[in-house]
Amino acid sequence: MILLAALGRRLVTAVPILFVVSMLLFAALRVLPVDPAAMSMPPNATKDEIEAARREMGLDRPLPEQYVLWLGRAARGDFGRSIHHRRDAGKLVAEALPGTIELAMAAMVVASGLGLGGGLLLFMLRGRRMEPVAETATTLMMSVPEFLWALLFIFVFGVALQAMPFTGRLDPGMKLPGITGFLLLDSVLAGRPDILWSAMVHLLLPAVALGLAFAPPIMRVLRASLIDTYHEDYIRQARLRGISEGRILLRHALKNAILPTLTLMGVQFGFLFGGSLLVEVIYSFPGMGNLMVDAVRNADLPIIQVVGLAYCVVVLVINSLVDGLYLVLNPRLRPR
Amino acid sequence: MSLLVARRLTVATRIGGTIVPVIRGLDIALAPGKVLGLVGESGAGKSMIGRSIAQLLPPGFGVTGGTLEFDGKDLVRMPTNARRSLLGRDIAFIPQEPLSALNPVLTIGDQMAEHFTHLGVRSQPQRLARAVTALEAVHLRDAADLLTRYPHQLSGGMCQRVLIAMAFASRPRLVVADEPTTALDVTVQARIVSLMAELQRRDGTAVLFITHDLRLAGRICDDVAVLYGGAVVEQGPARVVLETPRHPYTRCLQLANPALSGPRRALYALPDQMPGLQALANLHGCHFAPRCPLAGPECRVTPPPLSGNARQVACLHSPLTAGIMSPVTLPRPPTAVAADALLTVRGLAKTYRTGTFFRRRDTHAVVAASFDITPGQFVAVVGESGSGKSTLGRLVMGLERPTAGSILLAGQEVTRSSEAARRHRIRTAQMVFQDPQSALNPRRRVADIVTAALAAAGSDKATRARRAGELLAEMGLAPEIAARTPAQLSGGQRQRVNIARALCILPQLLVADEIVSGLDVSVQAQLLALLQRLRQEHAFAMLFISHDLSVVRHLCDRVLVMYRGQIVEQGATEDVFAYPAHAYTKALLAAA
Amino acid sequence: MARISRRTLLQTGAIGPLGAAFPAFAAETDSVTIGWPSDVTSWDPNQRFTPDAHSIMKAVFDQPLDQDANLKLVPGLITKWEMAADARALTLDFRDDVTFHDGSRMTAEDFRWTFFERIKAGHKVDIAQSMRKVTDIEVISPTRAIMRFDSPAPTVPVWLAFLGSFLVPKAYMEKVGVEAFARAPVGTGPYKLVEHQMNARIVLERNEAYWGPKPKMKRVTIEIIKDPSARVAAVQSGQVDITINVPVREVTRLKALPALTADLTPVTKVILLQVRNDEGFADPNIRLAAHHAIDKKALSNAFYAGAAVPLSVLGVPGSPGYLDDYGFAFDPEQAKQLLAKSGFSVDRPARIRMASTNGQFPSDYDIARAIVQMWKKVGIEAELEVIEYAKYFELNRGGKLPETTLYTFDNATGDPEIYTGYLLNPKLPFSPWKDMTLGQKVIDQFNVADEKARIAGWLALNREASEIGAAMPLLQSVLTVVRKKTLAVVPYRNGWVLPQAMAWD
Repeated sequence: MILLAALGRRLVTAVPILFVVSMLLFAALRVLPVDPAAMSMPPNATKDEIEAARREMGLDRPLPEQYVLWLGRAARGDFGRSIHHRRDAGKLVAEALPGTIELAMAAMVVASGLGLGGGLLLFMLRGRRMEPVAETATTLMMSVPEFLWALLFIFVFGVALQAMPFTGRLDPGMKLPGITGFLLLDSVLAGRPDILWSAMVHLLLPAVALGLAFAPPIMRVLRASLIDTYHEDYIRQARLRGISEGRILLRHALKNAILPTLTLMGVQFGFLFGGSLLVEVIYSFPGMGNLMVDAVRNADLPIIQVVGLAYCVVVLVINSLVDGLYLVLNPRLRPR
Repeated sequence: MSLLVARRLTVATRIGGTIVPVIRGLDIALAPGKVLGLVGESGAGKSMIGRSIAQLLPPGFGVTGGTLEFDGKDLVRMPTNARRSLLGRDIAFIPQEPLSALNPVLTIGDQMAEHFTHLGVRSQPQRLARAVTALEAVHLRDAADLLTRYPHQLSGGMCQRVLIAMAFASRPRLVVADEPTTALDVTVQARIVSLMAELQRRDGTAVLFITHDLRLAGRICDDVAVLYGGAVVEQGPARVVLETPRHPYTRCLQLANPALSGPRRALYALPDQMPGLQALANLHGCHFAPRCPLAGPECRVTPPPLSGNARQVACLHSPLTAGIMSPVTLPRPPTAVAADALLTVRGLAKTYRTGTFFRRRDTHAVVAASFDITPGQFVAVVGESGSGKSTLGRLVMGLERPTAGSILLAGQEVTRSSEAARRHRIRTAQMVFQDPQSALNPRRRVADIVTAALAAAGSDKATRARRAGELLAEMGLAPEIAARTPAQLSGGQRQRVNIARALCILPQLLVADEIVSGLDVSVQAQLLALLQRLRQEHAFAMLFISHDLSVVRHLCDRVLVMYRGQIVEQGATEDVFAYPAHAYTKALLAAA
Repeated sequence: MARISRRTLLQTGAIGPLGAAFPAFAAETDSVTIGWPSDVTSWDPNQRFTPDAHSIMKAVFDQPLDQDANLKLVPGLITKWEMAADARALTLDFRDDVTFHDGSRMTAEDFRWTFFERIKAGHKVDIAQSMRKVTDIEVISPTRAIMRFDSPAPTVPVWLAFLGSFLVPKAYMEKVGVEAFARAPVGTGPYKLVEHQMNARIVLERNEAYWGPKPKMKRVTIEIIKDPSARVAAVQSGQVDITINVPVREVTRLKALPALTADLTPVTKVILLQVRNDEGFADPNIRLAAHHAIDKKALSNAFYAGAAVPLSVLGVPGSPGYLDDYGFAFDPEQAKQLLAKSGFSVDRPARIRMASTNGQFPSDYDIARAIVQMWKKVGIEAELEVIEYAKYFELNRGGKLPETTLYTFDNATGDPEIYTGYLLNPKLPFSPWKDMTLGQKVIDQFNVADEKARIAGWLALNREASEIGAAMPLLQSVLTVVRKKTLAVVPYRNGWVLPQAMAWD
């Protein structure tokens, strides 16, 4: 109940945010030194033909008018036609979105698991001999960006060991079930464990590459958070009641220390979602990243606009969920 | 057979290469079913004893000598598992800060269930039943509903009752209560203490009651041990020790407490403060000797042993203790000259508006307050937490905007915070806050802090340096303090710096918000003496906000009693305290 | 919901995780997996001129006229073509044994639909540009049609073998509509489209009813791998059997592996400098000096392992407009002399600006910097700026291009009209050269009807362009192909890599 209320409140504030983001995207794209009209025509088009195309695309009208037109159509679900693909932009993005979300979710699971587990481990090692080793390992992990992990994995697992695939979402020969677009879900719905397995195997390397890159800050924050929490009175009191250290860590401390970590995880997801673009390109993973890269190269403004907005929406939704979760976990924030 | 015995227990830490003891050669014995009070000021080592029993000493501290036994078993060398099964079952602890002693993200029910699981109660319904029984034993109503609440939804007193319930739930043999009432309101304190006494009698539990309040110890404890500098200086039956203390320190402590009734005496202000750990280690002879009025050269050679039978004292001059007297009775300060009031407050109110547009919640912090302060008068505002006394002080200072009413300060209307009003107010009134730790900028030097007001007015460096020296001298602080930062000062020194800062430009009105709460008795006595001296010299008026009635009686001419935002009674302090009219005032006095 | 058969369960359970993770290798001898750098934008082949996807399109669709491996125009769906003397009519004879993938027969009606009717109907197709001059296509019989033009159009046959010119079925397309066709296409080509996961994979299966030579590969899987490092990894690990556009230095390394071999094939793509006729390059001495100062062989050695052929005119060896006997010499001394004539020297250099892309084609920025260094040695000071490929047209339209820009241009047909005619045509957006003395000659060439005269004219123009410093061609680009040693593929001089031309040894 509380979660829904928090989500509801957040979504209300999300609408003006989306407005502003769409305006910024619109303005930024028009300022770029590319000519979408020229990009939409074949190379041997004459100047007049390009001008005609520009008028047809509405690019000769003043910027605010263009924006209002776009907004009106967007409200009805019409995000324009991709200049490059000459298909409905909204549909293109809807096809690409599930893949990216699946990847981002899988990566978040990896990042969270590693982050929380690593944070606990770092905390338990404090003051012991292995602590400097663990800290160095975390620092090293933090210095490797996601695309470097991605390339490393291709080299080790794809080329040297030849143990894992590193292109696409499925083995060749497997057709997409095509129900929701989320392969892991579709394969279960369609009763195809072989597709499920193939999808998971193809998801593994990119998700781990992304997850590894975004786990270290979570580790550090959880550790710091736990150290702070351990100074609190109620921890000492629990010890004085004879509760075991393990129980104190998992039942008392973790539930408190998770709160700032959770906020960080929400922020990290935003970056992770953006970082998925590079990983998608490297792993030929068909999602929004690849769509966006093509769109930028071809000055395909409608696509850039919609993809930009889609990124914004996903990040907003995730942050709202995190806020709601925070409310659920921290009873002090709930209204009395 | 004693339940808890400490024989020559020594707990020490390592500071810069040397072993410095924090408890030296402690000898105490607690018989089953008895209540022993450990009385001492901060730094005396009383919390260390509680921690030693649980073997949860802070990192760097360890037991370096002597023994500590519970029911014949060696607590120090006991394996961890055995100790953990003792804790919570046979030995229970009641903490100082009840609100932060409970996990804020778990319900009361969860935490109690966990405790009962630890005690071995197998099934969930049984645990629930036991929890309800335990809560009812501490007189908490709606036990079932309470179990679903979170700690922040309860008051401090209720939380402490829950903790007491958990402590007594297993009918422990020993309960260690470490300052269990310090963080609570005065009226609540009394009830908690009587609750503990009730449960103790019911179960025949032995209680180790740690406190800094000598009078409180006298009320609940059978025996009392007074600690100074990590060692027991006097021990014996509570009433006897309190009525006729034999150790100079105990006597001075008694004399430093302002009395709620009887003639108003000047408080005995012990010089300096208790030495720190390092200093203690270097001290030969009696630890109290540097401050003791009876100290002689033989006291500085070897520490005197604790000697006696039922009553034990560690002093070479114990027979002379009774002769220590506090100075003569203080005269009543002159009644207010019929001068124009310095501060006139009429119908002052402050309402906080919270909640959303649809569900507005109004909190009436101050309701229709009206009073006057004449120049040179000390007026106290007393009440419990939530009574609105702090808000009143902030309104007078202009830190909050009043919702209604008027404030006249030295003849000028300052209700609305215009620029002129602000400037006038700053010249006329200054505020001193309770917690010097957070009130002083840790990165600035004392000299800059105390002359901040001058700096704001644009004085040059030389003037400021001179004034800083003057202020420090007035406060009784050594001149080298000027170059130090707050982190390098003690609590009492910091509070003096706080007051110095407020007095820098010689305001006519000082608003003091709980400035002596949380200080050791001897330090408090020093500050009260200081305030009275300053009053003689500078003749400023003060609005003294406090919850401590005895301090108020000692210091202030008039008192305002606040309850739920309203001033329910006001008048001359002696009159109000001797013949209280309002029911709340009576309750306050009864509890004090 | 499909029933989980015991077989599927056994298959996934019996094979260990690694085994199941392996993509289906082309263990059979009639399948191939290709690693391709870009996806098709749409399966409507007339919609967009996409040179990168041309090879894939040619697997699913046929062109009216085709090219052999040496760029010669050969019959495709058209058996015979005859251009009228005034080049305003083109008579075409079609094959009668061609069926579309859905079984329907191909007739001249489909040709009329593709190249005239759908353009007139307002479909947004790029071939509207190339078929701009068409006024009508007269269908004489199911196997004969006559194209009519509003002005002389001698190069239409070349265009019928060029980008976007694929035959699409009239009846089917009218029935399902353009959008649906673009998702599930029907063509006449040697392969049928079985599956397309956008930006991931394309799966083709052999068209058993194909009119032409039966392709050796029954099943073709095209993995779309955009990242060059991933392509290298894919071919090295064996996950694909063949791939293209691999960095040149990787080629030498991969060649050394036992299972792989690599080809560096010169193709019809040219790397050149586009120049202005005004501002810093108004003086022909400076232009010619700049051209003479460039050591093209050194560039080829440094960036293309010596496989790129230095060029002296716009065109590639073997194409009709190429002058085999003309060479523009690498002569730094000559360059210095020319500059001295205009009063410039190493101490007092001529100042110009240069633009280049960075990452648009392999080593582009490095080549530009190398050229800047070569110019410095003779007395030309060039300020290099990086631009995006898309910005080139923008700047050109505003007349804001710098004196020279590093550029590439591909022309699968090899026809000079599409080389010089485009690169130096002031009316088209490619050329910063706006001078009409040369420009008008270029424009006039478009209307020459007689083939021989046309080619002769282009040859002369090419020579003139290089001589006056209007054209500075640099190198013929190479296509890198890395493949398994046992996989053979026919190398096309225009860079086509056709699945129907692949076979296992």
